[in-house]
Amino acid sequence: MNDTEVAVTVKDSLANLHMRRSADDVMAVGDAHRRRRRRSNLAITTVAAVAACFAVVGVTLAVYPSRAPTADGRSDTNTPNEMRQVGFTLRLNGDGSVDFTANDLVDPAAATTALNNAGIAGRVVVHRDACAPVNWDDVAVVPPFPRPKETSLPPHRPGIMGEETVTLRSSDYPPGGGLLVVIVVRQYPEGNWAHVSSLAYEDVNKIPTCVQLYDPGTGADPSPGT
Amino acid sequence: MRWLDVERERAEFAKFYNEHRDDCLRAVTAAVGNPQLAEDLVADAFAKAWASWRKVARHPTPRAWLVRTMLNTRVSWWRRHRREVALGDHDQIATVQRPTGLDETLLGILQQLPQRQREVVALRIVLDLDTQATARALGIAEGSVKAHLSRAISTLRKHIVPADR
Repeated sequence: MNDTEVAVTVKDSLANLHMRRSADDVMAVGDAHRRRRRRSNLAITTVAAVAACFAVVGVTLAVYPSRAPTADGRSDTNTPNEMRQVGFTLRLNGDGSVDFTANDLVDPAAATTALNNAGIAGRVVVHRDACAPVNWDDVAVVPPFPRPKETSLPPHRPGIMGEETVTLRSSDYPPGGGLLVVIVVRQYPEGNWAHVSSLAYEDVNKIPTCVQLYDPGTGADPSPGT
Repeated sequence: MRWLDVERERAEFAKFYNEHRDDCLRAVTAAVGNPQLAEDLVADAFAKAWASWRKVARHPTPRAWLVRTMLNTRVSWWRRHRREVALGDHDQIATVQRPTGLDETLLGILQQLPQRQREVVALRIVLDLDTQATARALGIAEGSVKAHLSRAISTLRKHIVPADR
């Protein structure tokens, strides 16, 4: 027997073996593994948040006022920093931008305060179907969010496609304006999935306190061009 | 949107699983010698792949990632999980089902090979990985892969009886 014949014999001897488990079975186990991991991460985040409440409040009060926005709403911070609470993570980057990550249900008031303290004018709200749709006349749609280079997806209508993390900059909105940061939380068997959309408003005072991004009846995207 | 991404990922993974599950099962059976354990290891590795699918899908050779995971994995949470959910029929006598059509003689010959040679046979012959991919998956030099394969084939040749004799 030559080498090829030996190899063929080995392969033939195993040819009748077949996996009896379906893809759904395997994915169910993988989902359980993923849920455990998410719970573990949430627990760690919760512990970090509780610790932050007791230990970091003083530091936060001391540090964040020095990063308060200037009169035009721009931040003068140059030092990366991170503030993490249950539901969201706020990371201050060296270039003054802020990475906002929604992990789960977010306390919009706390998130808004943290965002404003980080030098970004605007408001964080949680998407609710009962609210009015976005008034697109108030929105300055430059630049689109997320920026094309930050996503592998093809270009899409500005501001509607959510990401787990968005990078926000004070230069994203005109002077006197601000950002509307919308958290959309969807429930899946493996747990909640939160994603963030962001819209730039011409006038910070026109940013709504209650908004829905999707038509609750049809799920249609209410942005221009649809 | 996110829910569409999830559905697309599920479809991608199901396609990946259906394309590679049997090949992986055969390779791991050749390496560990026990088809039941091999099925557990394969299922475990695929479940881990699904739990980290966004990373695994971007891996240059996801099949090699799987094989490495399978070979590194001991009896795992999959088996524990299966025991947890299998108590409904605890009053019945368990029977071990051996897969039909398996050449037990050749499986026995394979088990006489040293472990590393079995792993090389599994990857090079059963899974048809090239020498470079096999070396990467096992963390050894390409020359070692060739040497192990040569010795394994030499041993197998001595024990395999051609069908026409």
